[in-house]
Amino acid sequence: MKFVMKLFGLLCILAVWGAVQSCSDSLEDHVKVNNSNLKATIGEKISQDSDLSSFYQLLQETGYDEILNSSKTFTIWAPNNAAMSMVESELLTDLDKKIEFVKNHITLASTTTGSVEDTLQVQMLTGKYQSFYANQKIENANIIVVDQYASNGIYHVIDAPLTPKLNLWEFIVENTDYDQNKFITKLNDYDLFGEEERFFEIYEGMELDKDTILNEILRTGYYLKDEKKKFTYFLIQNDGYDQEVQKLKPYTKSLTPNTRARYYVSRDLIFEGYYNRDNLPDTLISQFGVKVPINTMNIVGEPVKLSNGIVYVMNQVNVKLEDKLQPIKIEGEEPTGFSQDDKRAFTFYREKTDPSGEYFRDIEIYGHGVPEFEIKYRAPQLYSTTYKVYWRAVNDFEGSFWQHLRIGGGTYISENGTVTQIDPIKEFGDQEVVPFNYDEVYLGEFTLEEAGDVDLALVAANTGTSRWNALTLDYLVLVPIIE
Amino acid sequence: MKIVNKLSYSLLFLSLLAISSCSDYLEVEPQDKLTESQNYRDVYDADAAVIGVYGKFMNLAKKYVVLNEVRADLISVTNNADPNLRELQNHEVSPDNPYANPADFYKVILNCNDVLANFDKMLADKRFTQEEYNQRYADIGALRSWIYLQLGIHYGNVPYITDPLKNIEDIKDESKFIRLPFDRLLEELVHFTEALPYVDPYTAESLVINVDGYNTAKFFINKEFLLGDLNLWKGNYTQAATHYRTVMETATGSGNDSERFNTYRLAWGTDIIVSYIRYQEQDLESLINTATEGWGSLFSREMDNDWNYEWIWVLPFSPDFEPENPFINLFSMQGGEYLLKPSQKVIDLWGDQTQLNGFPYDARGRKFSYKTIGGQPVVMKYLSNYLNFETFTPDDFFDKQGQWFLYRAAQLHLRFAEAANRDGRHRLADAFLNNGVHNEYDIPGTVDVTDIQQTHDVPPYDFDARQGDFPYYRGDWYRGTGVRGRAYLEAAEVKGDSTIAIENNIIQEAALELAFEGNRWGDLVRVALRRNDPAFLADKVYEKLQKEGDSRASEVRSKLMNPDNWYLPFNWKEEDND
Repeated sequence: MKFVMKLFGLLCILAVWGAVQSCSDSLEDHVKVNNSNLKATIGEKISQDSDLSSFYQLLQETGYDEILNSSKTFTIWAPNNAAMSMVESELLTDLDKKIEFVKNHITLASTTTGSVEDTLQVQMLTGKYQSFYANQKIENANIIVVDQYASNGIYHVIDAPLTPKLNLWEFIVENTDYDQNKFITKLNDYDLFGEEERFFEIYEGMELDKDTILNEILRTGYYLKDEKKKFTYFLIQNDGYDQEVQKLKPYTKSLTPNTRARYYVSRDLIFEGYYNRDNLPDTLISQFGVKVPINTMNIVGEPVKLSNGIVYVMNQVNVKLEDKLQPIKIEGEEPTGFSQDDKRAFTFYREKTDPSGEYFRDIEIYGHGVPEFEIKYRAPQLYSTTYKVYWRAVNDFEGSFWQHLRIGGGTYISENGTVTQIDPIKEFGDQEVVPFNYDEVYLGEFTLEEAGDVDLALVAANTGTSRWNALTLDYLVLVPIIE
Repeated sequence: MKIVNKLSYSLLFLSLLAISSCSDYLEVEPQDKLTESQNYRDVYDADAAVIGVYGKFMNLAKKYVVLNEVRADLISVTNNADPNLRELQNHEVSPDNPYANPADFYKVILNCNDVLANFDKMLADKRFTQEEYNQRYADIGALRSWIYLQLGIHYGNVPYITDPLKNIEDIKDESKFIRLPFDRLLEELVHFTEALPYVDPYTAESLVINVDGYNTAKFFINKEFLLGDLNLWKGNYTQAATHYRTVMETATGSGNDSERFNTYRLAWGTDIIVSYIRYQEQDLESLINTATEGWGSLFSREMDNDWNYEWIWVLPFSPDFEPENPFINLFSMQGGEYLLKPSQKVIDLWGDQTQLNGFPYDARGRKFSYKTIGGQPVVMKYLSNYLNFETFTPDDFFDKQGQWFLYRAAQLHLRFAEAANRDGRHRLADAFLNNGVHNEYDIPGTVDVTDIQQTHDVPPYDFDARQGDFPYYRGDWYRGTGVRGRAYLEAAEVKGDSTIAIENNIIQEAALELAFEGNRWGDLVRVALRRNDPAFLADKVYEKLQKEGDSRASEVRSKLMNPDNWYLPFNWKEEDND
């Protein structure tokens, strides 16, 4: 019985084979391996090359000799013995460092010299990127033997080691002798804007990467650990740094004026992009729109090259206060709330063009029937100074109406029902909104004694009549005055 | 026993292998189609023949949209498009381009001819009544005329064949079938179609039925609409307007007020207009825009009353029956290849309009006709039954529902306006284009409307749009909004010579309203021929290519300045791409 089944099984297989045979050419000729190079793995090939013996020894110590015999596809830039002798001994003091060193020479993909057109950014197993150039160089190393094929990849022999470099974040953490770096790392444990409690709530029970979530510099700006990006970082020596901080301090009046000033100084010293000394412009615009003058005379020593950027040590970077304290624009159609929530049907988010054909969006509230109805806005993290206030409010009704702006203040109701009335910093008088005026209108000034978030409210006239209590706002501009 | 069973299975398996490996003898006589001997015994066979013709006709849907849009200026090819589509866009069509192969059109035409000849025989043998004959003969005859009109638009000179041929290849014999110039072809078509014995919609209960969730009433060509088109092409403006007017009055006399005032009249108060929530017109988020409400719902809604107020001729595609919906593949990024997209030119054209609330764009554009998905503009008209309204992804990738849009009320009004304008009725044409007869002929503030809100003209230009309470009037046309009125737009300005300016406005409005529905190339050819002004067409194609950054824009323009180059090469090929 079983025998019969087996026989049938065999017959079936034979039949299938026969069917395939009858209609297709033999595949064998096409797939046969003729290159003897491809019979050995990369690990085996390296072990046989006497000029790579030091590197192979390192592979054995780290266990990577086995990994390189596996069936993944690798490309290795293998430093020859002369190159290995150049490696600083402190880079290979323990196993972790050795593994890091080895990983920085290996990538998971087959990368031949022919595949580079100009420069190829190759991500090594460390996660760091190395520049592989068409003229047979990788970083500073020359490729002296190219494109050695093996069964599971390729290797090139290079004449200098690919020492793993620090990324920008690692550099900052490792160089806290500089006040600037020390301050940035300190932000991990310091809640500058009083908003971190909510992160603990959100991430409760999860492992927090403090750097990423609790550091204001990383949270509000570039992510300095990103190996795919390139950054240019200006590190000011302590005196020059303090000079900048002191300059800003009159505008960061608060419980922690120094910390605030340091934050504002530090965040504008990081730029995306890799600027060599040769192509360093005289002014860079920071991610917060601040013009930062770069005087190459102030550069101290040679720049430090990082895996994801470059660092210039400076004795000073002199940012002008008028560039630092920029006008704040608040869009009318992006309110944070209203004095009551039941007026959506009277709230109009509009798309319009002005007489010059310029497109804009704004907000209009009409027919709500509530005297002194308010649209609320928030100006985030203002400097402590005096501001001039302008608005653009487009009225396309038949005639004028009046509305006014309040800075700060308002009524707050806590969870247990307690009503708190806060005095405004400034309440501007009712302002006529003339029909079809597309110009900015100057409202007046207010002075902010303490730096930080400021709530604003656009307030309707004190009447329930629709004709008179409309509200409209394209945008507000707060222009800080430098004393 | 068991062994024997297994043995037989194994043998079966082996024999299957043998078949699938090397041979192709799987062709079987179709179970669900008729062979010639089974045909034309009674009226039900005749109905089957009619349905069969429409089934074949649907294979032309892709070609219709591709030829009429890609060659014109409202649709551009994407980077995914193949060289054949690019050739159409650049007007350098090689003879073996499958889109230019006329064979697909003639297959349906020959099918029509065959059916018509058999209907004649059936009538002679009294296998169905004269009335049954009239309705079916007229339907298939009109459909054939419609296909010939398309052939004329795209090929200029084509053989006009009305006899049944056993073999499609006979057409290649040029000695038998002389190619008629377009104008002569139009003469023949007007002559044949005007003489059809029946021009109303079917009354035959066996053909107007509910099948697979669709009512078939609007599957069939509207013959009066076609007659309007043929006469409009021929330049018989009064006849064209008369035929269009008949369609416009389809529901006149209906006892149901909604049906009477809304059907084919572009009425206010329906769910198929561009509108905002009342008293919230200044809020862009109050635009009415769901799958069942708003202007965009024209393309997604079920066959309900509002659907019936607009649609005159639509053929549905369903995953349940052949042929497959070709539009998903053309337009969708998901489940399709995204070969075609809205041109920058039409996007800008919508952006140049102003709505009544001052919003600086035409909502029919970016809110309805196309959407920006993943940073790319996507034609939405054909995808609203496929993509989810909120997520813009298909709920079911294989549920490729859709429709082939052929005739609708806005198109009817624009064509009527085009004919009326050329027939010296500028004001009336402008009324249909902009805000409707009621508003155009109104004197605001007048209580007694006995003598206003109407045209006081002879047929087919006599419209009563009165709405008065003292004395009471509700004219048939009192709800008509006009095409731009329904789109919540300011009226189009008339600049310079009225005939030319209003005609320009009408053709532009057709772009805004009917974009991507397969009307554009015909509109451009018709007006350019009428004015003997190739620049009318050439400039528009030039603008499209130029806005797409195509360096050949000027070259294509100068080529299209010669009308001979508007037409595709008439090159018969055996295989086709459907």
